[in-house]
Amino acid sequence: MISQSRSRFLDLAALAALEQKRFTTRRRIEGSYSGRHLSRVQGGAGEFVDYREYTGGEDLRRLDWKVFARTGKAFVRLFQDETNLLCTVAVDASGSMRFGEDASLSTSASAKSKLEYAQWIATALSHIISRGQDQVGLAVLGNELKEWLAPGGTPTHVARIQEILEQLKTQPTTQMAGSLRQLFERSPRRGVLLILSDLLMDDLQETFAALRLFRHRGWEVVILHLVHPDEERLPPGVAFRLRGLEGEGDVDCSPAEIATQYEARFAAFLTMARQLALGAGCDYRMVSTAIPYLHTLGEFLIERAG
Amino acid sequence: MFLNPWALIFLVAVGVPVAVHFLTRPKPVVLPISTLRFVREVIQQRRARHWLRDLLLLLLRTSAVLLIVFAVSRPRPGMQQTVSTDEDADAVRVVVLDSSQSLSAIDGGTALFEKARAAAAEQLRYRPNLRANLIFAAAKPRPVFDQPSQNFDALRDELARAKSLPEHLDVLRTLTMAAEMLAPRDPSDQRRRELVIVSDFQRANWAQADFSVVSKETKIMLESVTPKSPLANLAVAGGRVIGHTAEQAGGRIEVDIGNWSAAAQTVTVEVQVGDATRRLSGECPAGRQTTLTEELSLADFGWHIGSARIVAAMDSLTADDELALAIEVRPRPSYLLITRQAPTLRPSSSHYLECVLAPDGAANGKGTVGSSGSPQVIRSSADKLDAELLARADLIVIDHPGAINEQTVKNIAEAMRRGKPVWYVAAEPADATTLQRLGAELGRSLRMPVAFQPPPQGEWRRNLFLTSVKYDVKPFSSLGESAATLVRDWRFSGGLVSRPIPESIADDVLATYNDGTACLVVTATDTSSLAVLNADLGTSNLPSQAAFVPLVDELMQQLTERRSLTTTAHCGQSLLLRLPISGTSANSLEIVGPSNGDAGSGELIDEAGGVNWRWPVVGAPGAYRIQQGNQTVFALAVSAPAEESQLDPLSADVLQNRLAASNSVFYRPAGDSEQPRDTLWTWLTVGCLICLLGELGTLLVFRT
Repeated sequence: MISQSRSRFLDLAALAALEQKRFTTRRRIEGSYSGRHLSRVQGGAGEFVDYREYTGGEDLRRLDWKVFARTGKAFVRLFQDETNLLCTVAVDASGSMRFGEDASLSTSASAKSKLEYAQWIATALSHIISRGQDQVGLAVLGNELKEWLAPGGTPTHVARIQEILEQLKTQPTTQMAGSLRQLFERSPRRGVLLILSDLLMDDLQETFAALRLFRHRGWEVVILHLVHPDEERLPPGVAFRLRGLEGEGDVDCSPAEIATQYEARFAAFLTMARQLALGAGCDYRMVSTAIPYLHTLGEFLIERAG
Repeated sequence: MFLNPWALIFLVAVGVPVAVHFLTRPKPVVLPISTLRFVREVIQQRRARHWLRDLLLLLLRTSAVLLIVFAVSRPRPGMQQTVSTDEDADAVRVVVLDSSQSLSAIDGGTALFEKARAAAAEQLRYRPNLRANLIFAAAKPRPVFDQPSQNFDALRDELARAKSLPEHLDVLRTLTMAAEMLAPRDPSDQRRRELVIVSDFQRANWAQADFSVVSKETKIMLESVTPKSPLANLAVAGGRVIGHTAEQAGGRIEVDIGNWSAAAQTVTVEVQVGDATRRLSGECPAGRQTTLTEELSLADFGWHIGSARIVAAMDSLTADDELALAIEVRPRPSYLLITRQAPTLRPSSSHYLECVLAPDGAANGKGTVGSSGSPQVIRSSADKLDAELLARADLIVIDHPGAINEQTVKNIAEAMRRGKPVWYVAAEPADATTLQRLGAELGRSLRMPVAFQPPPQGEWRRNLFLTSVKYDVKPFSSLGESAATLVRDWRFSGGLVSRPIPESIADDVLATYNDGTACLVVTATDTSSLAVLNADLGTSNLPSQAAFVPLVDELMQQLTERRSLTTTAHCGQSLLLRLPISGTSANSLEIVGPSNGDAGSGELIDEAGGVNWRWPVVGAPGAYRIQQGNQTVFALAVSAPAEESQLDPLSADVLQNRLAASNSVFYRPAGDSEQPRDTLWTWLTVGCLICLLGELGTLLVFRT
């Protein structure tokens, strides 16, 4: 499939090394079409899996007559159906994702802003997923669901996704649970929900409550927790007026006086986010924006492939 | 208050730490951050700690600046009202040195007066622009100069020669004199005015102090020489002989002992009168006056000189351990009965009086003669009365005198001035006029509690009985517990109506009739007493009562005893004494003082009606005698006032607040030198250093 996208976040040359990799899932999924992923449905075609005693009413076409002839007992053959993957990439568009966009204030020159990093990864993933004959959708999360494209596999659809990602703008929002609930209501079929977020929100507990809804329905939820290296520690200096990216106002402080406490607090936040994610049955991966996205993506795909 | 007040301008530096605190705050760099919520949480935990640190640092720095500024200013707390120490200050200073007897008290082997002298000398050191004066304060203040002067040598010479006097301290006169000296000569005189009083601030003297006479601009410093622990003192406060006549051998001597110490003491007093010596001993409770009594028999009548001395007194003030006594032993008093009633008229009011005054005498038509042959009662009508008759009598009784002419009233008044007591039996309307004229003649020395007036025309006072009697006061107290029963049967007739005089001494009315008028009035004048019995004894049943004789006897004794109180005088006072002698001139009399000379004993002056003893300032304590040839005709015991023996001082709080009124008064206790106060700046410096160390410690404790 030839990409129709003109997105600046789509670097086909760089992705050439990753095009052979597949975005897979270890769970059985529901797909629209036949594909290479295990379906939740055990149909009449596909790979043989097992025998099961026949019970009345079952389709006699699945009855293994040879076994019946040898043993005199009626068994039906079970086959694993294979289908394609429905993956929805949800990108956090809150204000905190802008952190790191001003490189002059950053101590880590190579680090991108979290939003940009998410745009690179999401664009690359949409390309890789679509190349694997799977369907990819997009959700832009804020206080409410700002953008949503149901999973699709056509080049036009993928180009549209990449176009939305390229034009993505943040908003000073501090909550995400509502948009996830909207996404849940709009998604009729099970699939994979890939969330790209920094998880810096006021309603973190409610957000994971919303994610548990997905998990209860059988969705596989993957969280890529984006962390900028400058968030892990405060910059050195005597006096700073720290200004919130989500309209939280200003705080004057001397970072040197609170550096230790801040680092401990942020570490505690990371731990809590991980525990909440794992507690909700989600796959969790902390991603530092200081690491090139291709490297992160490669490792991620390898890990997914098992 | 400050030695270097110019340094206070640096108090503005107090704002420096605050300014530094705000000016040195770093200009913050605006940094967008996604994790502001975490920063806020962290800061919230540290904010209270930082706020406390900042506040402590600010307080310590500000305090350090304040303390160092005050240290440089050299504050001298309590000195704001004191004398100026600036060498160039233009000032007028009056130093009052208490020279009363209480300053003779010994504390730790040193007389308080010597401490006061040293304190006064400190205030009389030469300074170029200072004018000063010194007042020795006792009964009369004695200034060295009329006005403040710069002759400090003369002031110090006078101070060196000064000694305490056996006198009390007249505070008001002293303050008034000092205020006059300190008064500015003209409105342009803006010199600093200072009044320094060096005293023991004895309660008895200073309780009446009123600093309002001193101008408010005057700085008043009270420099006390009173030791911190109260001084114990025993004193002979008074002495007298009671009920002693030559014919009544059984008199008694009473000595008042003041125990002004913290504990009760057994006191022995040796009394020597003439040839007789007695020892009085008794327990004297602390903080009060106790009277010791002893029988005393004196063989000869006349004047006796003596003394009462505390034996082995261990107290701080020895000057009051001995008291001179002047005691007159009189023969049985002779009475002059002024009446117009004939001696043969019996019964009559004057007859009853003659009988009761000389119950064992023999009537001879002109009076009654006693068993010794001396006349006891001399009858005389008012128109035949002369000065010689008045001089011969010890007590004058007036009954039914009729109308008395003006000269006779004057003579009676003069006799009263010379100590003759008078018993007036007011029975007739004319007596009201006589009493009014007598009162007018005596002027302010006689303050009757009631005014007598004739009863309304045609109204006859009869069947009066007593409704209000002071049974606990002489003469009724002599009747004992049966007085009320006895009085119930008494009925009176005649007499005058009376009305109370406002602002008079109502206690002098000893008995009152049922119609509200006075029955018996006994009131004292400056030198004698006047008793008025408002009744006609001829028509009353009192003379027939059993209590009549003891009642009159007690009344006569009461009147004659009061006369003896005029034989004492206090040192330092002015004395004008009408001698109770007549028929002689001043030239034939001589004053003999305790040192057997009349130098400084006043002078004797002939005046109408007798001889007067004038003494502008009563001198040293002791017994002074007026002698006619070798015979003592009068004696006077001179002593310091008894109040001088109470050495307890007035508290500084009372002096500074209650008595000072609106004046600024500073009190400096004894032994409180200025040097310790002047070290305050070192303590302020130490405080500054402690603040700086505290700042360092705070930074260490709150270090990040």
